[in-house]
Amino acid sequence: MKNKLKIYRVTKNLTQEQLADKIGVSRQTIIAIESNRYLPSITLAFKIANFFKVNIEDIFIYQQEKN
Amino acid sequence: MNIKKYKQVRLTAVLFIISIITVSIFLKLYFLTIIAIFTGIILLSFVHTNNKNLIDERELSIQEKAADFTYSIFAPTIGIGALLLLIPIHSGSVVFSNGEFLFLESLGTIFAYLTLFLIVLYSVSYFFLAKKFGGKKDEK
Repeated sequence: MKNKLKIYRVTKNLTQEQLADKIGVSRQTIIAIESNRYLPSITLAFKIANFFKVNIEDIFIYQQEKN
Repeated sequence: MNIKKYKQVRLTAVLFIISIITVSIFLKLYFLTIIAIFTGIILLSFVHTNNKNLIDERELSIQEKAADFTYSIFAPTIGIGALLLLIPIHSGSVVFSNGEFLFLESLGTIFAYLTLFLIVLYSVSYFFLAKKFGGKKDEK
């Protein structure tokens, strides 16, 4: 799973701390999501998408796993 | 209260309780230790229930993994420890010639019961959680 969270955050001129406060998570969570080290729950993904007023798939891009 | 503030309050409470417990153990005031432990449990559960929505989901996921990791290490360790202590190899040893190995055997019995308790507790909580989050077989 890839994501464009950093791009959307920078476009809105927000710091990681500000975005974390607005979504209701810690800054570490935003860092982890941006660096693809943590996959957010569907609730958090919806919250993020709602905040940026886009669809989930605009931010989170599903990539089929190679077998 | 935001997440940062909540974490600070929780950390302060934990540090305060740890310091009280340490001081009371050094001063051999065991009653104070018990009071501090119970106060700590009440205080932390109060902070936790009043700020349930402030617990970060990443932190919850880490807690789940840490608990699973702890169980998978602790259960076999204590189980093997119990087995080693229960094997009567110590009776022939010169070090335990006065029958002190009996204490080790008692310790082994306690460890064995603790292992059983841990496994039963894990199985019971797993069963209830599986029931809570799972669908029934005849459910459509």
